[in-house]
Amino acid sequence: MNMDGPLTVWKALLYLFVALVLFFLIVPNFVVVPMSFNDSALLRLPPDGFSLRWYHRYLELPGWVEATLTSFLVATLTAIVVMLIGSLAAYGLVRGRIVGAGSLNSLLMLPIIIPTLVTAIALYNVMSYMRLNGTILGFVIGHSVVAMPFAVTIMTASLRAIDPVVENAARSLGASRIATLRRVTLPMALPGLLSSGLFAFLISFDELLIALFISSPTVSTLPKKLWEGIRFEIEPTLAAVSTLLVMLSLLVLSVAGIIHLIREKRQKRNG
Amino acid sequence: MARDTALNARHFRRLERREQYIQFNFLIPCLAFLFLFFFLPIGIFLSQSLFDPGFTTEHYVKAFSRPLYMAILWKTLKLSFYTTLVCLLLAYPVAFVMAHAKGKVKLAILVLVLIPFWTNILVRMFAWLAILGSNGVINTNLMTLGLIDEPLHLLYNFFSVILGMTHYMLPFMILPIYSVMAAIPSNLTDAAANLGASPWRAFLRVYLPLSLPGIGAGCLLVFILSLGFFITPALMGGPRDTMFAQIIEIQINQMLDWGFAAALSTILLVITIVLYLVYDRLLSVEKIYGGDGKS
Amino acid sequence: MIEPQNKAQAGAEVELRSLSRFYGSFTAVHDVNLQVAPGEFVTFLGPSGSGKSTTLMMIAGFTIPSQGDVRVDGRSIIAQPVHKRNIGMVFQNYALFPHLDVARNVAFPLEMRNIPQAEVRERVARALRLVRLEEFENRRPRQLSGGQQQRVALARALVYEPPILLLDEPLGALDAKLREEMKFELKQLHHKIGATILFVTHDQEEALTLSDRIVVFNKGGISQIGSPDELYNAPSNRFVADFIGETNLLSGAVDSVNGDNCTIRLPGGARLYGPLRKGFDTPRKSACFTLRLESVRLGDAAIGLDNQFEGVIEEFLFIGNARKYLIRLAPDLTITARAPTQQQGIVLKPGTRLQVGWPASEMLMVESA
Repeated sequence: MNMDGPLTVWKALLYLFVALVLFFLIVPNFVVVPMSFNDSALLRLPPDGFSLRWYHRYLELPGWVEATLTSFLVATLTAIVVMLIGSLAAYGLVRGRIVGAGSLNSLLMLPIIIPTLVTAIALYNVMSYMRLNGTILGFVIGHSVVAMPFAVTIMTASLRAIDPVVENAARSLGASRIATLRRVTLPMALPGLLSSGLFAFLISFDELLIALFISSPTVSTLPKKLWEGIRFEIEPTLAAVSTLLVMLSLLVLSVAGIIHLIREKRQKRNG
Repeated sequence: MARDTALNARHFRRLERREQYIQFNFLIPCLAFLFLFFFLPIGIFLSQSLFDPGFTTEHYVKAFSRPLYMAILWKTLKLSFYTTLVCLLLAYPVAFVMAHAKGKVKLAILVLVLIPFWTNILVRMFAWLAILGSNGVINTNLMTLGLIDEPLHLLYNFFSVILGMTHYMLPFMILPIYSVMAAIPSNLTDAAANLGASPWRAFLRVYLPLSLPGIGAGCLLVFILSLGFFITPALMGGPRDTMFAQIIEIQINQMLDWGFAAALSTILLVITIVLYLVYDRLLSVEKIYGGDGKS
Repeated sequence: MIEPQNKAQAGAEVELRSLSRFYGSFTAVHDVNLQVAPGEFVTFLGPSGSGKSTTLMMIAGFTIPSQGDVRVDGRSIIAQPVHKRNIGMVFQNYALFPHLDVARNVAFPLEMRNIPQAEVRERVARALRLVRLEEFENRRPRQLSGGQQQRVALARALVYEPPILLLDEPLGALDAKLREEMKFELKQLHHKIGATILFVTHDQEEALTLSDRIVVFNKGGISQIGSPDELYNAPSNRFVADFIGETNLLSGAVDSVNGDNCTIRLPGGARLYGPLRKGFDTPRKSACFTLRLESVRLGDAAIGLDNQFEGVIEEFLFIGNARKYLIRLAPDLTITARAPTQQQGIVLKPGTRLQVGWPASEMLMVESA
């Protein structure tokens, strides 16, 4: 299949099909934006008129702002925990001459594979015992479990790109293992570390099932509020919250993209 | 001299072992964390299916003997299968075009795939509800245009669940297939064409078999994730479309029957893990996300 | 410049004692013994997989030996971790720190040694002057050419004045012209700093031009140790003769021994008359001779020599001022010769039939193994 050749009917149909699939993929992400600025109480498209009233409602209704702040706090702490623990594990996986590193890696990926509902129920059980339900610490722990495989994967790829010979050079120049990590490996792996933190933040900020089980009536996260809202009534305040969440995702993706571009440019010039 | 060497050899082995343990130490915090807050809790929870509090098999007997639960399991498998199939049909051409596009087009497609991947699932569910609902975008516009008199029932059925699931799972299908296709040397199909194969034959005989690992990995991943999926069936499914994860949730939140929930979870996990082992052989999870696949 | 009076004490004595490394049943390095004098330039030469790099890595401390010892000035360093060995090392791809500029790269080993800032600045400047890179101190490694990166790596490995410098194929990544320049620089540098240098390469020309002594590695062990002159003119075995310089290797069954000479029968039946070698056991069954390309005489010059054959030119290669000829002497015996393009009126081209010969004294007996 030579894609550079002349445009045939088949190829035109293929492009059309792909465009439709991409349209299907992307539309629900942005359909909420015009709805949130719509003056009408009905979720209508095309919109009737421009208004910010649903954003005012988001700020005024009880619980929404608190839930947002809780989510921010939990996501930030989760990102920190996962960056610390996950990058160490990734370093062990990449640099360690450990027998069965492959199966160990598969084991670390299990939180993605095992249905999060089961993880959430299991955690709820243990958290009640540890009196962590409804606490920030409880959320952070639960979200770290879910975010860990992603962070380890991103960090593993980032560390694989670092030539171990550079670390060896540092050691031969008199740097201890710790000094090598701090002065050479860490600065070089920083872009990967930052993106793993960013994505851990996003995973935590979006996480619903664990929050459903371990939140208390007083402490709730934004996705949990959104879930309750959707189950209760589909109304434009939810569109406003959704729009904010879409903006957050776009922001994180762009920052990660910029980090990625910087790193690629650096690597290209090094190569 | 011989004794001296023997002493040395032991000394060296100790040095070497220390070297290995230093690397292993880095994994300890992560393994300890996951053990404490993932493997152990799941182990405790699942054990309740057999010890409640004394040893019992009643939960498993109940799960396998009542037709309701096996019917729901069957329906969940069917839903996962259809979701996987639809995802494959939609994803393959996208991955193909993405693998063969260049520069900015490739980047644009990647971004369009990654944005939904990293958008909150509730936002997407909300959007579907707002589009498909009886007061939703489609129905209101069709009624305004006078094409229909009554709202169409687009939601709360098997179809809408598959739609929502497909939308969620599509990136999980596109990315593995793409990563395999991107590694297929483009001159292979050209070579087949030069040998006189028609484009379709070259595709069927050369390209398709080479992309099979990606298809296999994508299908298994989507099937595995669909099996235990809860949010979409709960929000977009009707009362007759209860899925396996939902009955587990019902046991916990409504029936307060932890033992039975644990038995159902065990059944779900056994199927999931068997499929994961197959998948792990096929392609590592890591390759799919490729670390940078997401950033 | 580092002062000449430092030179005498700059180098350290290095001793390898039955150094070995096994990986399961595979032997990477077997029983390597070597004594290197302070300030000596010693090259480990051998094909890839011959054990030369593994030996170097054991000296540096990156590879833990299976047995044996590494001694510096008489003290064992085998139990010391890499960073405490105080050995300078330059890697094949330089291994510069991409996130640090040139000055910070060179300052790195000094900072690791907690040397005061003022002194660090002074010594970095001195090291950069030594490799003629003083104007580049604020550049990042990626902004430098391969040769410049190489010199930064050298400066970084020299700035803390290590008594031993290990160079692992440092010229391998450079193009041919730069490699020639760097050879001279390395040699000059060695004279200036006086450190003991262990240099690993698979390039025999680098080894011959740079070294005081060459250690030829083969299959995990040392094949021969000697000065470039010794290895070139008196290789002790077939492997060394084949690896260093271009040479014809002629081996066959021993026909007869008389006095200091012997006659061997080459495959195909031709007989060869050559000298026995001092220090070698008189061969009984088979023997191997080396014959340099330039020892082979063609045409009239060949007539009357100890070994004389009739040959046919099969192929020739143009190499500057001379040509290389592939000459068939017998159905399964060819040799290579190097000679001027024209010789005494005969035009040498493929198919030419001519006399080929050489004196017995220009052949050298080597071990067949």
